[in-house]
Amino acid sequence: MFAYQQKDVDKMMSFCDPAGTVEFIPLGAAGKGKIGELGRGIWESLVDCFPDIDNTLDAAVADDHRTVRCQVVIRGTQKKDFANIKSKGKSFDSDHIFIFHINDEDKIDHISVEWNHEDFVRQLTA
Amino acid sequence: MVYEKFRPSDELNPFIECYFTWHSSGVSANGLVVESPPNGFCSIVFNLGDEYILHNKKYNNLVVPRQFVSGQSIYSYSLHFNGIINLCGIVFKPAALASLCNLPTFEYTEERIPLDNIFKKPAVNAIAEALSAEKDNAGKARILETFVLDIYRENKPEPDYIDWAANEIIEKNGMVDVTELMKHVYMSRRNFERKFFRKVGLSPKYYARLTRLAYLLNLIAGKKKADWGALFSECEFYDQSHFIKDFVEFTGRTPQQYLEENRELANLVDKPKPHSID
Repeated sequence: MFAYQQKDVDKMMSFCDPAGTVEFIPLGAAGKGKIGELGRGIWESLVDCFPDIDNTLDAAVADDHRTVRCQVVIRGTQKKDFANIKSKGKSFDSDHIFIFHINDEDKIDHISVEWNHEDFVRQLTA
Repeated sequence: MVYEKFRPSDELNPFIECYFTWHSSGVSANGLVVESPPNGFCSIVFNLGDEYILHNKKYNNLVVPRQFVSGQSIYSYSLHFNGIINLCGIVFKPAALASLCNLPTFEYTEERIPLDNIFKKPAVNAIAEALSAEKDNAGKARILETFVLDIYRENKPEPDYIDWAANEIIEKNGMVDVTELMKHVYMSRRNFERKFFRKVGLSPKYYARLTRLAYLLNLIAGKKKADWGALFSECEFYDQSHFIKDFVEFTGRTPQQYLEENRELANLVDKPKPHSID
């Protein structure tokens, strides 16, 4: 989360297995893919469209030896169109749950991300 | 059922909230369930009685270790007893497990870590035996104080700005503006949040939310009716939806459900006033 805070997607990727899987749950089937492809693409786009994007790690709980659940608040101000959301220069502040699975090589090989997408869109478009 | 609290010495006051003893006076507590909402404190607990079970969001049926470190709880949990209750322990100020014992508190959230994973087993066993042999509750608190003093004198910790900020949140029952708090610690928000997370296990804002709700729950502990309007105002909630969101998030119930169903220790014992250990 600290690499994400630094908006350093390469550094984020260095903690991950690029062939691992990522699921942005509210996006349905379109939100499932590989960390090194879909994940990288979405995070690069977020950093590009929300240049002041930032996060706070509220809490982290180990679900088991290899799985960590992180409660994170993500916030940012939109400067470019993102996905299908036209930029109105508005800001968002949204609770996210990230679940990371770590493989035997200590790389993240699965990430699931959940948030209230309706509320996220409402904050940027209202 | 007897629950007592004891104040630490002045030397340990920056790090220790209190010591506690809780026992069922030698009577078996068959089928007793005691619930607890998050309270914002970490602790070290010695079980001198029978085994009991923990249910929380992470563990469905955890047989609680005989001696353990308990990290921050962020959800309500329940303890299920089927025998003699005889517990005592140390309740730490929020950053003190890290400051005093150099422990990675952020890894302990929702956990019960066996104490002999952290301290040497013979030392842990010696303290457990001394506590078992001591019948007086204040005497048990003195044994716990000696245990902490030994750590304190070995590690020589100095409370820093994170200890100060976390203690300030507790002191003000979570009703603090974190941005205001940061003006006194002279560091960037990111740096402050990161250091706070490492020592307390939670972010400062989240910790303040949790602490404020813990304060509110303490006000209604043991009651079956509440003046929500007055509580809402006393605890400085921004609006009703924030209040309900926090309430449901940390307790798993709506405020009214909580009043009707909660099985906190406060329903079984009088709220204790801390005694001196002398």
